[in-house]
Amino acid sequence: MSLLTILHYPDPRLRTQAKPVSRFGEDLRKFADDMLETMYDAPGIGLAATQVNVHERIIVIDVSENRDEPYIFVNPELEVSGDEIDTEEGCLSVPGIYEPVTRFERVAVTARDPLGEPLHVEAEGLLSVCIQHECDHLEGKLFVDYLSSLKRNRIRKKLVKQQKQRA
Amino acid sequence: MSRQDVNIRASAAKALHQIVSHNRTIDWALERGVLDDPATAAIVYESLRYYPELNTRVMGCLERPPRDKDLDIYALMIVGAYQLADPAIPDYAAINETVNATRQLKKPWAKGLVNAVLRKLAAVDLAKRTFEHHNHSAWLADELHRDFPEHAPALMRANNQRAPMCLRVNLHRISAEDYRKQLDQADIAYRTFLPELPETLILHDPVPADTLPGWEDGLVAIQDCGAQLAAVLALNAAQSPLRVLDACAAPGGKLFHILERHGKSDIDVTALEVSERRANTMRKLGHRLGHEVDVTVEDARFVSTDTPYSLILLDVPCSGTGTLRRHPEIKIQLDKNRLDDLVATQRELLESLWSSLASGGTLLYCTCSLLHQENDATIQAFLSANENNNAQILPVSLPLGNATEFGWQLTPLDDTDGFYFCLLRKPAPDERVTDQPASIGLT
Repeated sequence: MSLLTILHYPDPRLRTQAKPVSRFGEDLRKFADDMLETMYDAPGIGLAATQVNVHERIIVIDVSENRDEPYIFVNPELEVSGDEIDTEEGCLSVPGIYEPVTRFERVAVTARDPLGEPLHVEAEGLLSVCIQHECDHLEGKLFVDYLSSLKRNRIRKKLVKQQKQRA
Repeated sequence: MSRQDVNIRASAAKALHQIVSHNRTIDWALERGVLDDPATAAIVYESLRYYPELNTRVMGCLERPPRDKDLDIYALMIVGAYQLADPAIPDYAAINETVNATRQLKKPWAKGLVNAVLRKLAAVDLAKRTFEHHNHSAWLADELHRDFPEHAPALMRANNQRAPMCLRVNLHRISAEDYRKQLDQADIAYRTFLPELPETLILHDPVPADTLPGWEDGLVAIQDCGAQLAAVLALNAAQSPLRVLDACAAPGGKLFHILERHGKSDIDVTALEVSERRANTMRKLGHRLGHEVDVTVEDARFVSTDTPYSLILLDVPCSGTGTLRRHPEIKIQLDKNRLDDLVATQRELLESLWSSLASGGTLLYCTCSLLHQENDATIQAFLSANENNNAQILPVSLPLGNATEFGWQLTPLDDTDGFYFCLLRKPAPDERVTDQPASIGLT
C-alpha cells in the first residue's frame, strides 16, 4: 500500500470530469485500498479518485468514529431524497476551510465494488452528505462552488498564499 | 471530505445560543444530535441551570450589552464563565479552549474580548465562584414558596441537580428479570425503583441510549420513573373492557406502558396528538417498541365521540416545571403569560374530554408540573364549574410523594420528575355514590 498525493484547490485538474471504470479486478482493489489509506492518513472521511489525479469514477468513504466501516463505490449512481440539510463541510483538497453546504438528507447509491460486484446502499446523515460531496468531485465540482463568489475568492487567495509559502 | 475537529466549547456555545436567543428547547438540541457528546451536553445543561447567575457575572465584565448578531459570542462567554465556576476544569483550559472556540464560531475578532472577560472572571477567588442562588425567576420562586411553604428552598436545589436516566423494560418483548441479566452482562449498573414496578430501572450513570442492550430491538425505552406510575394508576383505577383514549399522546411513553402492562388483548386504544411532528416521533417510538398504535393528529379539545371511553389519559400540555432537572431552559423561558395560556388550555381539555368518558369510566389527569395552578386548581375549577356531573375523585396513594387536596404530587425531592396525578371517575346516572371511594395505589 502507498500514500497518494492529494491535489489542492485551485488546481485545475480538480475540474476534470471522471470517466466510468470499465476494468474491474485486483489492480482496482489495490488502488482503492491506497485511496483509503490516503484518506485515513489525511485524516479525512471521504476521498474521490479525482483528488489523487486519477480521473475515473471511484470514491472511498468512512464516516465511522472508529474508522472501521469503509465503503468503496465504483461508478456510483445517486438518487437523493428527503429534506434539505445544512452541514459544515470541509475537503481534503481545500484544507482548513469549513463552510455550511445544503444537501439532501438521504441518498440511495447504486454502484459496484472493485471486483465488479453490484452493491446498493441507502444512507442518511453524515454518510449521505459525504457521498454527495465525493460524487461532486467526479463531476469536477467542489464544495466551495456552493458558496458565494466573494467567499470562494477569499478562500482561493488564502490557499494560493499558503501553497506559495510552503513551496 | 474532511471533518473539523470539534471544539466542545464552540458546540456548547452554539447550542446554548440557539436555546437562549431563539427560544429552542433541550429536546430540540437532543433531536439534532447536538448534545450527543457528553462533555458538550454537561456544559450546556449546567450553563442553563445557573444561567441567571452566569449572566450577571458576564454582564458585569462588559461595558455594553452584546449586539444581537453577536449573541453567539455572548453564549460562549457564558460557557466560559460556567467552566471557571467548575472546580474540575482548570482555569487555563477553560480560558484557552474557550478563546480558541471563537475561530470555530467564525468570529476570530472576538478572541481578545472573550479572553479579557474570562481573565477578569478568573481573577476572582475560586471559592467565591460557586453558585449562591437558586437561579429560578422571582415569580417562579414565589409560586414554589406558596405551593411548597416548607420545602421550596430544598425543592429549588433539587431542581438544579442532574436527573438519573430511567428505563422502562418493554414487557411485551422481554421479562424485567431477563433484561436485568442483559444489563448485568453489559456491565451497566442500575437499581430497581419499586417492587410493584419490576420494569422500572434507574441507571447509576447515564449511557447513550443506543448502547443499551436490545435498544434497536425495542426491548427498552427511556422514561422517568415517576412517569411510569401513570400507567399503573390508570390500569388499577379503570375497569375492563378497556377502551382507552390518550388525548395528548406524544411521545407516547405512558400509553405504550399501559399496553405493555395490560397485554394486547381486550384493549382498544385511540391516540390523539395535536402536533404532526410529535405524532411522528411517537409513531417511530411505537414502531421500535412493536406497538402499532394509530396516532391521529388532532386537537383533543375539538373531538367528540359516539362511543365513550372507559379510560381517558389526559396528560395535558403544561409548564414542565416538574422536569427542570432535564429541561433547565424552562426556568429562563417560562413566563406568567405562557403559564396562563397553558392553564386555560388544561381547563378546556378537561372540560371537553369529560363528555367522551363513559359512565363508570375513569380519567387520569396528569401534568409534569409542580404548580398548584396547573394541578389541584385546575381540578377545583373543573369540579366547581360542573357541579351537576358529580365527578368523583378517587384518592391516590403512592409509596412516594404527597397527597394534595384532589390528587398526588411527586417532586424532584422524591428523585423523580415532578408529576401530578388526579383520578376522576364518572358515576353512572343511577349509581349511588359511596361517600369515600377506596384509594388507588400500586396494588
